Amino acid sequence: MNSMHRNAKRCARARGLKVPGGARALLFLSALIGAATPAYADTPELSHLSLEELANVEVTSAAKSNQPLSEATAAIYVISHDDILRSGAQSIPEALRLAPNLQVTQLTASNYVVTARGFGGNPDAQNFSNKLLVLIDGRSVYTPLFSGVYYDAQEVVLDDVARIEVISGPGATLWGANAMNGVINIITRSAAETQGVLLAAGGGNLEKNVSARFGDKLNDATEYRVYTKVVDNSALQLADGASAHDAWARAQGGFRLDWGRGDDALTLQGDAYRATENQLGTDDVAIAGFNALTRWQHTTDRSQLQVQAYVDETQRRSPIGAGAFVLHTYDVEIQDALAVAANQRIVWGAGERINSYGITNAQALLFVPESRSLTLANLFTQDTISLGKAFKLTLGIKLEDDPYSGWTALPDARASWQLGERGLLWAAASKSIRSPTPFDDDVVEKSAGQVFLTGNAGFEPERLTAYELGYRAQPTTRVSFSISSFYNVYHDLRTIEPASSTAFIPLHWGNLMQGDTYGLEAWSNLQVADWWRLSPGVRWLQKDLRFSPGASGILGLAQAGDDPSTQVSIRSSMNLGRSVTFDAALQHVSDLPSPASSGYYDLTARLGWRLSRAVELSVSGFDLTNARHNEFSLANNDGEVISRSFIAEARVIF
Amino acid sequence: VVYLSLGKTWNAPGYESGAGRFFGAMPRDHRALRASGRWLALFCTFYSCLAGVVPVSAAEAYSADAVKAEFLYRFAGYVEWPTELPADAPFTIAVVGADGVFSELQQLKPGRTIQNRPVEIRRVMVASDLERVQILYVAPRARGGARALLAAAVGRPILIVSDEAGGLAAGSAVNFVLVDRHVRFEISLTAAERSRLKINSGLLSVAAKVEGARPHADASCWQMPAFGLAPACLRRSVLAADPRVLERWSARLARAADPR
Repeated sequence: MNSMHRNAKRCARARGLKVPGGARALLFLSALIGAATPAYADTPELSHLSLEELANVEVTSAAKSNQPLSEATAAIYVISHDDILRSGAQSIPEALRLAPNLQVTQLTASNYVVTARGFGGNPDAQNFSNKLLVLIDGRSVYTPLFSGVYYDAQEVVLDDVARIEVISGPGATLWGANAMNGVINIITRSAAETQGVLLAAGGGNLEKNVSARFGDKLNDATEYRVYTKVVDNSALQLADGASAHDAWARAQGGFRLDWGRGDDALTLQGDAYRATENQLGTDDVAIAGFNALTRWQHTTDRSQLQVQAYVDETQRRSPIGAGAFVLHTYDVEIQDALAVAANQRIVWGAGERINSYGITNAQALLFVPESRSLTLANLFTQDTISLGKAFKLTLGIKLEDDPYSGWTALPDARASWQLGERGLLWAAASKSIRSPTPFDDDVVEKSAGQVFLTGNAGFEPERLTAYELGYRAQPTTRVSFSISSFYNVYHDLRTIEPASSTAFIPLHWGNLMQGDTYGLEAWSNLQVADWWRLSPGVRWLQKDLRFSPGASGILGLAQAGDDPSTQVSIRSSMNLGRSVTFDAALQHVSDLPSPASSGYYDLTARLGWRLSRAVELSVSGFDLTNARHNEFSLANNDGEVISRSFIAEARVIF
Repeated sequence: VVYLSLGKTWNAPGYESGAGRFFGAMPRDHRALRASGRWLALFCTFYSCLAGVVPVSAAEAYSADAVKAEFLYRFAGYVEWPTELPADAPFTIAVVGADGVFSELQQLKPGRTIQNRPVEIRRVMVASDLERVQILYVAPRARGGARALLAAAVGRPILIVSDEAGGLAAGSAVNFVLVDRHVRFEISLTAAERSRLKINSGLLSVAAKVEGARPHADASCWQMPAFGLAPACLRRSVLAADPRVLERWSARLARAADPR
C-alpha cells in the first residue's frame, strides 16, 4: 500500500475521524481535509499537516522500508509536495535548493551541480560531482559514464511529486556504490492522488512552461494519469553581460498507472523526452530518452515484498566532432522487509543492472572501447533490532559486484536511542565507495592529435568511512529540529598523475589524495503562528585533504571540489487569510575557495492567490537582492551569471 | 632579423594556452630576460615534454620566414577542422607563391607530426591542387593566379593564411602582420566560420587583432559539448598549472633520465 495512504490513514485515526473503508482516494482526501489548516481548507495538501504529523511523514529512503521520519537514523530532510509548489521552483534542481543539507550550484541554463557534504567537483580538473545518487521513483538517474547526473535529462511535473527525500551521508548499504555523500529520492504521487485535470502555465523572463495532466479511473482498482510538460528556458549571461547562448527547450510526456487489490499493488510508469540546448560558439546539443518501470508490492502484516524492473534509454548528441552516446539501462531488483520477531525486522534484497552504452567519440575525448555492457550485481541485508523500548540497532551490509573493481562489501551500523517522547539520538558508522567508471578507466584525451591523458585500468574506487552523530527532536508541537554532524575519512580520491616515470605527458588518473572532512547540518521548523512557519537551516563543512606520497600534486587539492564552507538559509511560509499564501526564502552561500568565487545572498519570494477551488495564480521572483549573481567560476573565467528573474503562473485543477 | 615577441611573459596571467607561453617571453629587455630566464628554461623543458618541441635558447633570434613557418605548424593545434582526415592521410600545408616560408617549412619538417600524422608541404598552382589541403599559406605580393587560388579556397575547410596588410579582406582566416619587428597575426572569425573551422581561444588570445563574431569566452569548460566532460578544460589548467609543480616534475624527470 502506498505510504502516503498509510500516513493519511494514521492522520485520520489520530484525529479520531471515521475512515470510510474502500476507496483509497476518498480515504486520502478525508484524512487531509481533517488535517488541513483553515487557510487551505479547500486544498488538502501534505504540508498543511501539523508539525507533529509532518514529523511522522513516512519515508522510504532511510531504511528502504517505510518508517516514520522521526525514527530515521540518518540526516534526512524531506521536501514536501507543498514546499515545492510554494517555493516557485520550476525544475528538479531548483526544488533541491529547498533542502538545507544540499549544495546546489547552477552552471548554465540547463546544467547544475548538486552535492551533499562537499566534493562538488572542479571542471578545471575534469572532476565532476559524482558522490551523490539520485533516484526518481526508484529509478537511478546517474550516468554510469562518470557517475554524475545530467539534470537536463531529468524532469517531472512538480505537481506530481509527492516528496523529495534528501539523505546527506552514505546510504551505500541500501543504495549501493556512489551513494557516498548522499542519496536523493524523488517520489511521485500515485495515480489515485492525481485524478482530474491539471493545466498549468508559467511565463517569465528566463523561463516559459506549460504542463497538462489528466488522471482518471479505469475501474475500482485501477487509476492512471498521463501528462505532458514543455519548457522553454532563456539563456543566462556571461560576466560581461553578453548572452551565454545556452537557451534550451524541452518536451516530455509520460504516464503512471496504479492498480491495487487486497495486499497487492502494481505500478506501471514511463516517460519520454527530447531537448535541444544551444551552446556558446558551437552547435546545439540534442538529448532524448525514455524509460519504463514496473513495480509490484505485496504487503502483509509480516512482510513488505517489492519487485521492480525498469528500462531506461538516454542519448546525447553533442555538436559535430564533440561526440554522442546512447545508454541503455536494464535493472531488476527485489527486496523484502520482514518482521521476523517482535523486536526484529530484516530487510534483504538483491538486484542486477546492465548498463549498455555506445559512444561516438569526440575528437579530443575518446572512450576506448567505444561500447561496453557493464553488469552490476548486488545483494544486501539489514537487520534492525529493538533492544528495550528506547534503543534500536541497525546492522547492514551490501555486497556489490562492480564491473571495474569486482566485489566490494559496504557495511553500515546505526544505533538510535529514544530520549523521552520527543527526541532521538542516533549514531552511525558506514563504509562507501565511488566506483570506477568508463571516464576513469577508458578515456583517452587528445590535444592536437597527441594523447594528453588516458584512463587508468588500475584506477581504484574512491573510499569513504563515515562517522555520524545526530539528534532530532520535537520539543513542542510547534517546534522541531534536527542536528547532524559527520566525520568522513576519504582514501584513494582521484588525482592526475604522469602515466610513466620518464615523461610528464601523457597523464592518467591516479588515486593519490586522501583526507578528512567534517561538518554540521542543522535545520528546524518553527510554527510561529497557525498561519506562519519559519524554517531556518545551516550547513557547515571543513575539508582537510592531502596528497598521498608520490602524488604529482598537479592542479592542487582544489581539484577535489570547489565547495563553500557555509550555507545558511531561512524560509518563511505564510497563509494570509483563506486564499493568499506568501513564501520567501533567503539563502547565503559563502565564498568558493578555488577557483575563487564570491559568496552571495539569494532572496526568492512567491505570492500565491487562490481565486477559486480550481484556479490559483502566483508570481515568483528569484535573486531579488541581486540584479545578477555568479554561482561558480573557473580558474581563468567568470563562468555564467544568473540574473534576477520573475515568473507568473496559473494553475487550474478540476 | 625579427624577434618573436608578443609583449607578455609566459607566466603572465590571462594566458590560457601553451601557445601563449611558447610564443611569448622572447624579450629584448635583458633585465626581463634575466628575471624570467629561469621560468623560461623550465617552461621550455616542460613544453618540450608536452609537444616534442626542441627547446630554444631565449636569446636566439629568427628570420621572419622561420617564425611564420613555425606559426603555420602551430596553428593546427588550435584549430578544429569540420571533418576528420582519412586514417592514412598526411596533414597538408600548401604554399602559394615563391617564398622563403616554403623552404623554412621544409627545414622544420623532419621529425614533426601534426595531429599525429606526417606532414606534407607542397606548392599549389591550380584550384584542383586544393583537395586535401588543411592549411593554405598565400605569400605576400602574390600575383593574379595566386589571388584566384585564394578565392577558390574560400568556403572550403581550409585554414587560409595570408601575409599582407589588409589581407583578411581577401577572405583569409589568418593574416600575418609585422608589428614593430615582430611577426604577429590577425584572425577573422567570420572567415573561419565560413570555412567551418573552430578557432580555439588559446590562439585568439595571442592574436594581434580578432575580427568578426568573437566569442566572449570559451564556454566548453562548463557548457555541455563533449557530454559536459570538458576535455579542453583540464589541458588548459594543466598547462597553466603552478610553476612549482612543473619544476618538481622537471627535476624528477631529469633524475629519471640521469640517475646519477
